[in-house]
Amino acid sequence: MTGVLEARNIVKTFIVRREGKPHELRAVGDVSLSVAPGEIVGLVGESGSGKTTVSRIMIGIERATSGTVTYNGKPVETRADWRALRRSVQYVFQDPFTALCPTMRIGDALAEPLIIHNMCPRGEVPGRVTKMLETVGLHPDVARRMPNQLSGGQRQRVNLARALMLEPKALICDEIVSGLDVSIQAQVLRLLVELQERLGLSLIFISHDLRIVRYLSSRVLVMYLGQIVEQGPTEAVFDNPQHDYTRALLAAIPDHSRVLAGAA
Amino acid sequence: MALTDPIILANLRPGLFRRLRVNLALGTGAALFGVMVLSAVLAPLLAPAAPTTVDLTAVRLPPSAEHLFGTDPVGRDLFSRVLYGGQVSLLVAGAGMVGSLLLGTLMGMLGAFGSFWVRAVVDRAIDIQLAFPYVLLAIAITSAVKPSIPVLILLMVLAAWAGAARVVRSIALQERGKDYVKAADVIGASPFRIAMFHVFPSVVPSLVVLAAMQMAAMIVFEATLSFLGMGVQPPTPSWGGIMLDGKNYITSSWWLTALPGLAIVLTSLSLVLIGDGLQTRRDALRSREGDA
Repeated sequence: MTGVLEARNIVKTFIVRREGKPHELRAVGDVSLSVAPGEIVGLVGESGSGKTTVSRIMIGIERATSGTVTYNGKPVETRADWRALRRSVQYVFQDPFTALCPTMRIGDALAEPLIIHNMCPRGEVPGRVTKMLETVGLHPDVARRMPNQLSGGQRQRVNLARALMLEPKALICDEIVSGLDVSIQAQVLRLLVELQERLGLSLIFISHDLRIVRYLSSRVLVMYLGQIVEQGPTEAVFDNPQHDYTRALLAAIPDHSRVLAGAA
Repeated sequence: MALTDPIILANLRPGLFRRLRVNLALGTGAALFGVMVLSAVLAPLLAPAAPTTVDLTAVRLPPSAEHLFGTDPVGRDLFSRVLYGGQVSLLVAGAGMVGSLLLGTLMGMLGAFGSFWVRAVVDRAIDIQLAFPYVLLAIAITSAVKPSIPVLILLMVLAAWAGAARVVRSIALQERGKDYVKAADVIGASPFRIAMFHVFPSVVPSLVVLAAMQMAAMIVFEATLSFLGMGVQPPTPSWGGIMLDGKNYITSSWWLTALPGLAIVLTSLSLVLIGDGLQTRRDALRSREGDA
């Protein structure tokens, strides 16, 4: 299976100084990950396992120490390549409270990607913003608000809307619901699935919540200490975990029976 | 619930007190500054005499009904001179403030968003500027070129831009690390766009506070340079220059130095009060926004 977006043998090391001596800290060691057209891939693992680092490398917010990111089979290397990649791949940040510019109205924040990339004539911009707000289930009046006038769930819808303004082919979602109330989580996830189906998006969904990953993804990768320790179709990994860490993760879910019921 | 309920009072009092205090500082400062500016602007109407009219029959008269602030060593009416001097002092200080904020903002943003080398150069320039005694700088420049008002303003900009640049740079650096800047990068915004439309608006509230504080410093700076003879040149009156004229009579004719000095103190005090009030208000707004 060839992926739309693919990461090959990604390694990321940080140099940290301990007692004056430089040490190499390996945050991500040799991770490969791909997502096919219209596929939802789940990436699970505990905090600090390197999930976010991998995802940020795949959109170019961070650079890999070694390894390549490819898009449609072509390696992404130069600045121009990354710019082109970001026309088709977008990213939704974890924290809805810091990902929106605090001094910019929602309408302007949503219009910005259109204006930067000259997506449409200026006259059409407000109409597109309104349409996108409706798509993510927000009232068009929200365009006039400032971010601090919105709730976490509303802000995360705005972040999602902003990423979708460029009509991307693939979307990377980094723990996008972990900062939200459980009731709001369900709404945002339902919206995400609905949009994914409607737009045929490829989705990399990062979470430490196995229940969510099971509900969403068709394929799952388990990360532990910067390595992928297990991967495969969601059902297979969840029903018959091979790696000890995956078993430990599954056993740590508070109510195992509810997970099985929720998946059905 | 009873009006004296302790919980309600505890909740209400600090906020109310805080607001009153802010309004008090801002209000007093603004009123005082307003009076100083207005009296300078209206000098032609308020002044009993022209600021340069010499009357050698009325030399060094103490304050009286006829000469509100007394007269100077060549018999010029001191009240008129202080009023007209205010025009010069406020104008020069204002121009110096605006200039130093513009240069400081530009350098501060470059120091946060420039390439590696640009950042390094800006950093060093700020350090050198802050370590360099401005009076020394003033002596160097005024000994090379004839002192005049444009030179004075240039001097003030040179002396004060670094403070503004440091404030702007530190805020911009702090904002630059936040997710919304990365998000803007991901949607394709250029560094210039990020600096202008995303980060700069967060710097503005601090710039407003800085403007008031900087203006206060500029008033004192202009007075210092003029007092040292490196600023506004006679016979044009400025507050520092008027004090210089009275320096030799400081023991016998106190009003020659004390009254223009009072104008300097009151003006800078009013600006510090405004700056303080604005700062408290900015912090209150920021905490209400609730962003970390």
